[in-house]
Amino acid sequence: MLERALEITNDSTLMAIFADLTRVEYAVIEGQDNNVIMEMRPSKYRPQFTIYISDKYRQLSNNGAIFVVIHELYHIYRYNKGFSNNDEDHAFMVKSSMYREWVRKALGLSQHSFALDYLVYSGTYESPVYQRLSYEKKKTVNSFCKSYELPY
Amino acid sequence: MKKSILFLFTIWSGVNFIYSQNVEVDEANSFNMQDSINPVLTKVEPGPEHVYVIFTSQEYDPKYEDRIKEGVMRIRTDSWNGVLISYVVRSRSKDYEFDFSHWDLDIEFLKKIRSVDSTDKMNIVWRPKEFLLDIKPIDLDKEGPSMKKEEAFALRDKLVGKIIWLIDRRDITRDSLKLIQAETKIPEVF
Repeated sequence: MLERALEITNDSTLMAIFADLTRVEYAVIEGQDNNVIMEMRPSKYRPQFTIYISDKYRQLSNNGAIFVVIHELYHIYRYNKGFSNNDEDHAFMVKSSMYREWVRKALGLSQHSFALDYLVYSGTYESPVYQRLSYEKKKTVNSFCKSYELPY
Repeated sequence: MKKSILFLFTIWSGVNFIYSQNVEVDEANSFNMQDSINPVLTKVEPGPEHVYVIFTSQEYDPKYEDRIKEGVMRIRTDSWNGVLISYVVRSRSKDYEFDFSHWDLDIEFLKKIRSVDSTDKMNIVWRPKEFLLDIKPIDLDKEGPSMKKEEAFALRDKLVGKIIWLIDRRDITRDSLKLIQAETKIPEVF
């Protein structure tokens, strides 16, 4: 899944990060009470990125799994550009044409799919960018996420 | 000659009987197969093992986003992928909110993008008012106002994965009541 996601981003910096085994470590977490599927935590020291993968990740569909990886790659992309605020990253995700294109390719959607306007909010539920939406829009986000099997 | 005719008739009857049995078996098999391929076609009916929740909802008005601060808010969302009716249980003063979702998605649209499951198209049924005597619903009009945040989320967590039937007191008529199939879930974050 990671390989496919990196291919979709076509970003040489991200590819270099994941090619270097000392920069990324993975930790599988099981049986936690919360509903966190995956989380990337950066560090000033090596390994630079720790990716926590919950056992809930295994229950996702193909669409859901690739989406979550793409989402985390965007966090790493932003961190590499000097930004490390989760909520700000989420705010950028919903308006970034690059992220939108990554998601579009990951889900095999057409260039002008309206569904993308809603799908990009998947994973941002605890951030102000989602919380500020009207109830009507929040529910439409949920509806499209369920249709395309993304976490909601 | 008569014996030969009788013999041929017996064989024809036998073949015909076996053939008709096979046709019935095939028809039964094809019916079962269709059922298993399209579980969504089998609508869920209220049962004793299900959970019942009763409340009086207030209708969401997009012009006044934050008007309903306490209680159950009903939101109907129509999109080209189908309909979602959400019942948002919220308390602004106690800082909690969770949803019951009734899905009525467009199956033809879904079939183009993924396989369909039984939660994509939920059921709505009417029962005589006496049905209330047979069930023990969770009454959010009574329990909701005193519920603390932890209790509200504990209730939600307890209901995750269960078949829930919602009874909105606004939908109770003189002699019947509407049961709306729904589900609840914990939002997934990453």
